[in-house]
Amino acid sequence: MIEQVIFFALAAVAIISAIAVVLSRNLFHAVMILGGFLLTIAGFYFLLNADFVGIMQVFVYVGGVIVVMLFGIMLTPHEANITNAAKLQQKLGTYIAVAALIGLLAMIFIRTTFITSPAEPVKDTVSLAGKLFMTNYVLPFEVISVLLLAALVGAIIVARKEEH
Amino acid sequence: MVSEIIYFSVFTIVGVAIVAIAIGLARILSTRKPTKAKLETYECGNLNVTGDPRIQFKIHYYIFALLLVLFDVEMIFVFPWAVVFKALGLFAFVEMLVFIAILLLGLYYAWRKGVLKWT
Amino acid sequence: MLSSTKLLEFASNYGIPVWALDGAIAIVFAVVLFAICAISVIINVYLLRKISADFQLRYGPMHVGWHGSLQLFADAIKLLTKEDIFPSNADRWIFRLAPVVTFVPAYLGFLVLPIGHGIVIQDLNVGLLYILAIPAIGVAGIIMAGFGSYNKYAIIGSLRSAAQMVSYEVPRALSIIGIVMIAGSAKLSSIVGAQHVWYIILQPIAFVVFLVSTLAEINSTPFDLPETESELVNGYYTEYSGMRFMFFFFAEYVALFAAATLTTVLFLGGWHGPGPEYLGPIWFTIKTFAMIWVIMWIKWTLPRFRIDQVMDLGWKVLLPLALINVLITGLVMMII
Repeated sequence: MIEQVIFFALAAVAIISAIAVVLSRNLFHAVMILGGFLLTIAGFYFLLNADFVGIMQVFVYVGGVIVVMLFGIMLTPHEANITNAAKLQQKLGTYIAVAALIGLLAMIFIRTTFITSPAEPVKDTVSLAGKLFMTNYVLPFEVISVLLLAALVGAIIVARKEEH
Repeated sequence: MVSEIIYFSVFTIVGVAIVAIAIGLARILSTRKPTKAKLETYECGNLNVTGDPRIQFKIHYYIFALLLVLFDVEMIFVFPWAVVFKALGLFAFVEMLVFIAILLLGLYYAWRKGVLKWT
Repeated sequence: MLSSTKLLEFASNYGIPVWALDGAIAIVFAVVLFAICAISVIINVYLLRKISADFQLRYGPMHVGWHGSLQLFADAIKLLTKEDIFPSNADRWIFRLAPVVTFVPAYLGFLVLPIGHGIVIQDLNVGLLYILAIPAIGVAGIIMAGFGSYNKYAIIGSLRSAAQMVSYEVPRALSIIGIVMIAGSAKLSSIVGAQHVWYIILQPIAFVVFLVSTLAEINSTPFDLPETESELVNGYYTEYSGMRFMFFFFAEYVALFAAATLTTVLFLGGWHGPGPEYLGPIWFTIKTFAMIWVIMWIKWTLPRFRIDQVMDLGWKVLLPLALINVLITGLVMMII
């Protein structure tokens, strides 16, 4: 019962803040509201008993990605009032893309049969995750380090190009 | 986890409320005589503020933030590994060595390319 | 949580749902925690003034109360009556929210901190990650203060602060890995419970890395570049006055207190100490204040770093050291 109340409260905050991010004219405000939105997502994870995923959501997204975005804003030259009105084709394209996305999501939502998992929630998610990384998912685990390396090298190359 | 969420929300609300109450109290107790000069942006005694403070900052800030995200993602994998390290033994240790070595390669690359240098 | 079977019984007898009981207890705890934070800040500021005075062969505050002990109350009353200035160029909402976003995460960190055997508000399984992740949200508040004030000093200060916190978060989190490996848990109470030998002895490298990066995280001298009085006029809170200024100040001292308590939990054996178990919180407090004293000692001894030195230290010295520490810990644990 209380789970439902928390879920709907979180969902309401998440939806309102997501809409606010999109509608906000000020980039800085948008990023800040996005941070709040990402916090509510962490709340959903906690509600699902995934405390490790939830806290990592805060750690990586709110503590990391939001800062990257803010520094990204600082990198771009600041122009107070950019009012480049979108052209008609651009607007039309946007509407079609959004409609297609909503249609797709709605289709997935209708097609899926939602089940309640009979499994008991895991007590110690961190150690279970650690065991699984080292046994069943060793290969993905190592591949991820290569992916991170690629991301790092890519970021450096892009950044250096920008510098010159 | 419901209890945790309730505690977290209640603590957040109480924290915000305390700040709001203190600022509200100050609003009642304090004087309010805004003048145009007082509300100017502070700038070393100048009355006329020059230029836009939101200048274009250097790329280094951005790269360091990107590095942070990469190592934060690494933390997702290292923490669970560290928790179960005792039970797993040599294989897990070697696995983690490979993982960290690959990341260190990235750090070494950044170092060699002079990205870590703050000029 | 505190043992509450009796409370649960009481609640079910009177038909009170568990969540309402939880919420009510949480409100009480939240207020108590705030009171503890406030008291710690008062003590810390007084100590800071007196210790800094001692280091510089001065008296420090002497006139208000016994040896100036009431000075801070006088300061608080003064700040309460100061005019709340909104610079006309400021982004009103960001400016308003910044002190809240800076202060609340610092205070939320204490939610998982065990101060005695079984005395902890919420003993999360991921407590260690929580206490790293939640206070880090404060960076956003600092950047908000800089952006919101629309002031050059404030923006430069806030970005320096953010860059510094970003750089030192990595070695700080990595230095703890060794402890997690030995304790086999990310739960703070189990980490303290496993410390029959203090981890400062088992993990000396980790302690040094952790302490240095913690100093950087809380912007304490030698890492006080974000608020250098001489060049940035206090950095990100230049434009703030009155109560809003006070909450930045408050957040800074709460962060100092949090840093000292976390060091106590991770390296100094938490509540362990001679004597019966109920003395735990007292030992904890003594160790915490010893840590605060050490931080202040460093603060008043070392001169400030340059920004390039700060960045070099973080990425080129502390990060490799933290990784080497993980390696050594792993090797030693494999051999033993």
